[in-house]
Amino acid sequence: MRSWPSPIGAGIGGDILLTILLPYLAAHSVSPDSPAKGDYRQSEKGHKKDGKDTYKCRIARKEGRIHVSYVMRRVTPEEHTSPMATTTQRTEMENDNQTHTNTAEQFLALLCPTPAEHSQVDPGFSGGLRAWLEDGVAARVEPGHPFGAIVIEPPGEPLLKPQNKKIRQSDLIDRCIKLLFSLHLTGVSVRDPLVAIRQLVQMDPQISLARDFLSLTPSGRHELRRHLYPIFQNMVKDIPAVPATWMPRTATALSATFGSLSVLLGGRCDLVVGQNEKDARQVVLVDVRATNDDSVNESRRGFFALLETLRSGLMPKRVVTYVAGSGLLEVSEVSEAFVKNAVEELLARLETVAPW
Amino acid sequence: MVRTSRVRTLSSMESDRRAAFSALLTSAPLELEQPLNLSALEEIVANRQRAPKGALQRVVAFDLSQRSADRAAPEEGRFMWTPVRAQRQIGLGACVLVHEGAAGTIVDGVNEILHTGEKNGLLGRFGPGSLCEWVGSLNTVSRGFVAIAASNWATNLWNALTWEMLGNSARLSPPDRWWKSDWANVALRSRSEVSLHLDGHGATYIRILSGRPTPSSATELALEGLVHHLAHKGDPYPARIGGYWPQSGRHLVVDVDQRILTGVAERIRSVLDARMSRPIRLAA
Repeated sequence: MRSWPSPIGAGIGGDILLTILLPYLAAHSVSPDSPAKGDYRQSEKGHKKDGKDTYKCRIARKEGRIHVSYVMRRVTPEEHTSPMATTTQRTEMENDNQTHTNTAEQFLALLCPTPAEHSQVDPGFSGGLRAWLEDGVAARVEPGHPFGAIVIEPPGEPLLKPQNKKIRQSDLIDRCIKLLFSLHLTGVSVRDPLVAIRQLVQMDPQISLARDFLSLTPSGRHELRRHLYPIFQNMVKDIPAVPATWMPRTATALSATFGSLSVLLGGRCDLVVGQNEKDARQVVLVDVRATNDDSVNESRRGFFALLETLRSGLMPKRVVTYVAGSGLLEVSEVSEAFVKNAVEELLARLETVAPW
Repeated sequence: MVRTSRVRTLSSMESDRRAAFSALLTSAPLELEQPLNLSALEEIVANRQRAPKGALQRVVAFDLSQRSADRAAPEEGRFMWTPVRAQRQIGLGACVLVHEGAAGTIVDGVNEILHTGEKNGLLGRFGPGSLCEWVGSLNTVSRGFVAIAASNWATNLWNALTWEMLGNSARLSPPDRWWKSDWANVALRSRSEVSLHLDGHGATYIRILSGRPTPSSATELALEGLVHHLAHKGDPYPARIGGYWPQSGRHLVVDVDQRILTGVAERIRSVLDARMSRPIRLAA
């Protein structure tokens, strides 16, 4: 079943996320190790394009770098009235088996575009984007700013060390689901998700979620299992294993730097399918989320499309958001306008935190 | 200081960077302005007056990196296999299987190595603390996770090059090369994922690296060239080393000359001097 995004849902999602984050942000503004008071800036002017959307930004220092995390509060309804030429489709999966079978096929169909589906690629597009970003960042960030490298992560990325219990838990569930997605997608049979994660953490204590997982109390583990299990079951029903010939890469780190300004765009894409050559030049990216967050899904897709274009020189074919909790699939066909929109959004966000 | 003209990167305007990288690696060698003076390089690395005493000092590319310099103290504790540490060896093996036609896909190659590598030697020798022993001890889920890491790594290598452009000259997974000084306790290691031997060219080595290039990356890559020339003193052609960072999509190609190699030798010297000046720790 297909339907267009609900404008009401989009607005509520952003509000809820902000409400969750606000206590944490306030509680940490006075800690000597955390960013100084005033580092949290909320754009009063709003988004340049429509004058209504606002962003909440958080700046954190880690290993001599600045990490910029932000959530967007979308006031305007998410309608397709903006000039960007994106095609956003949304597929609500229902809980009957027939629909899941269809969805599995649909998911595979999304990942494997036939050669005829490839969009026209302008060879100089990536270089032009880079130059645009260099200029845009230079106009917003003073050269020689005292903070070293600026790291910009995908919108809605978990904060570095969330203290709020609910945020911490939701962050852990998200990371567990991403890990389980990798295993499931490559055909590893997982009976009990919590046992599987425990085994992985025991094998490799350097896994990103190891510390948080190991610090859970017995009741915390019970709580995690209670939340994780239904989401995992949904995912197993929705997502089939991807054929090896499609060259799937899971949990792939992508980054792009702007040398003169030490600005780093970085993110981890949960699945990259395809390769940049001949008949399958453009890749398909998949971003997996445990629970839905309408306010950032499309921005995240734009961010990953931009990142991949800068990294490889070629735009991805499409970017898919898969929400394991609800079985939601959102798809953005990537066009030049879509990537340009992502650049504009990125620069608008930088403006909300600059001058530093 | 490394000269820019012999350290080349790909333009960000390049849309098919794989083909451009392969073309750069197989392009005509850059001529040397003067023949390499290898004895001078050897003297810098293994200085007779300042030769390290005691145990053999091994220097690898990581020791020359900025990350190594930033690290306050060397990593301590027992070596432990992890998926990240195992991915290169398993991934390289998988690429070899695919290249030879023994496996259809990278994933098949990785699974082949993980499931039968212990028997047919694809995972190296079996012994205490070996990769072979570690893989054998893993449960299904952990083994699957290792397979994912290795497949990702191998796919990045496989997608880094246009193999048809390299012809039959490409050799995957060449063995590590070592050069040891005749009079000092110094040994240098060179490691690459692919080597090329084209007629009329010097040796070409290709490395797949994680993260993104740093200011010291050209020096790290040039270490391969230094080891090559010290070990093959009669080679008239300068070595070429290509580095690819899949995460950031960056490429670097270094054509060594006397100036670049001198820079590497001096960096090695400073690393060795720093080790010599490190206070000796006595067990309590």
